[in-house]
Amino acid sequence: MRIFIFVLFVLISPAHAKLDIDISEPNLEITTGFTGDTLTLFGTAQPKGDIIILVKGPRKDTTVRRKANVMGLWLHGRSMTFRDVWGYYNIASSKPIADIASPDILAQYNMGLNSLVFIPKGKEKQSDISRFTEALIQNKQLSGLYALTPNAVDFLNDSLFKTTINMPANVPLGDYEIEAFLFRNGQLIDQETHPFNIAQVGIAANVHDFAYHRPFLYGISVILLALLSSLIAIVLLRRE
Amino acid sequence: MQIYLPIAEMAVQAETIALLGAVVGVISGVFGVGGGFLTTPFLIFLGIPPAVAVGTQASQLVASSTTAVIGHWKKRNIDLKMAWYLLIGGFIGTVVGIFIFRLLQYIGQVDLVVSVLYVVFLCAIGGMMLSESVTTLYHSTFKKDNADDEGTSQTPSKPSYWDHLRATLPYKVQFPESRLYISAIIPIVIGIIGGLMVSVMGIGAGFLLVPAMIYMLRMPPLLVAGTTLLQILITSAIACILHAVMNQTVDLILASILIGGSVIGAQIGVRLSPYIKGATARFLLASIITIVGLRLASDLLIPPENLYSLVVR
Repeated sequence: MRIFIFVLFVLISPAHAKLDIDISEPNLEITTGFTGDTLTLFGTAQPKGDIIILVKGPRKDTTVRRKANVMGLWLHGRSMTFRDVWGYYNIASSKPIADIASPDILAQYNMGLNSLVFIPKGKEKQSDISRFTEALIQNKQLSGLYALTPNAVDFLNDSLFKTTINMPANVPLGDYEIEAFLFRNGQLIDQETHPFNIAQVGIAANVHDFAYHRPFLYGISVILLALLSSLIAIVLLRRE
Repeated sequence: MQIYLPIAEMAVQAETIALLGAVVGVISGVFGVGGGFLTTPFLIFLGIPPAVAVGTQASQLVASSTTAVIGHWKKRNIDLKMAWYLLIGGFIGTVVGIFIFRLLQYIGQVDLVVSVLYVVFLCAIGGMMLSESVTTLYHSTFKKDNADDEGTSQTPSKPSYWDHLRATLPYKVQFPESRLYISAIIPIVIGIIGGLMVSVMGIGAGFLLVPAMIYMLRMPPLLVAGTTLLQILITSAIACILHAVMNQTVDLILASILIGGSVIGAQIGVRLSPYIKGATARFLLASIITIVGLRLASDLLIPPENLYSLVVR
């Protein structure tokens, strides 16, 4: 329904609107049943061109730790902390991004994993930085939080396009940005940013709020739950 | 069925967690240990953040030990006076342990210290118990000369350094139920060690307390399980509240599933315990402890597939 209204709106809107996007769910709501989700993203581009869409999650300082062999034991050795690393990064494009825009433009707008810049805290050797950066991206990819390859953006007709974005169950909570870019012959014609939020709702949210706002009461409740359930079990499973 | 954990912020297979709880419940009912040494590594293995695993399983220790404590209470298998002395130490140990944990977090070596401690304690205790119980089993099977001295079979024939120390320590107290007249310092120190392990390693440390009370205190084995469990019940309740207040690492949903499994398991365990006794019980428990210890040691010894790991601040 949302998509239908959006398409209707786009069709009757003035012609100068070159690029518009909308998403199947305005915000991703995480309940206790959440096991990951697929977002559908719709947009219109006039005139038709090449589309790149970025989905970027909340930024946090992230430490990469490397295990090292110390006297036969594999222990945490060197580590490097990067500032403001995207917790989630996904990309979709209508054709390979290298064919859409020049490397300079791709780098300028953080398009593609190769154009992401990770800045370590403190002074580090360049060779170490690239080693740890590579490890950071690989680990994020293993946990499904960074795109392995760009998703496809499909044009449904001359102006309407669609893509799907996968959100795994371990997706970080917080504020996201969805950025859409319209290119024509390698030139950026229009861009649009769409905010997006992932938050817990229902029981999950209540538990989370309780734990963070009333930690002492929360701790007591967990203990009471433990005591009560074992008492109930004793009564129910009593031997005659 | 997948279920989302609001504090761990990830989804897990509910059945797996419930089964883990049930297995741990059976073990706690039979052997008088909390089972934390099983829960914590397995939760971490399932991908739960270590801090959440440690904080949450403290609540599961409360549940599984409550069921067992009540079972032992009805059979009068608890030395309450001894439990009080253990608890004095347990409280001191828990509070000190939380500070040590914070210090380790600050230095950034929690993982290392915890995993090395796990391996050292589990392998050492498991190995010692294994050799002792195998020897006892061997003697009782082939010599047939100690059919009625299950509890005293471990007593060495000649006085050791420990016997001397035990006899000379001050502040001696009568423990009528255990028929002991020993220094209060010994149970308090054992309690402190238990409290430290609860807060630093996230385990009730029954596997350490039970042998300590059998071999160091020379308590009658019949009273050991119940008394240990009472100590574990209260120290882990304190630790759970401290984790909830200081670190927000107690997941109510994860706790509920674990507890659901473990209360049922504990009921089964309490019913099984009369059939598994003495050296046989110690042999089984020692085997489980040693296997978990070796499994964790292999993580330290085998080259990891992925050398790198991430910590999001």
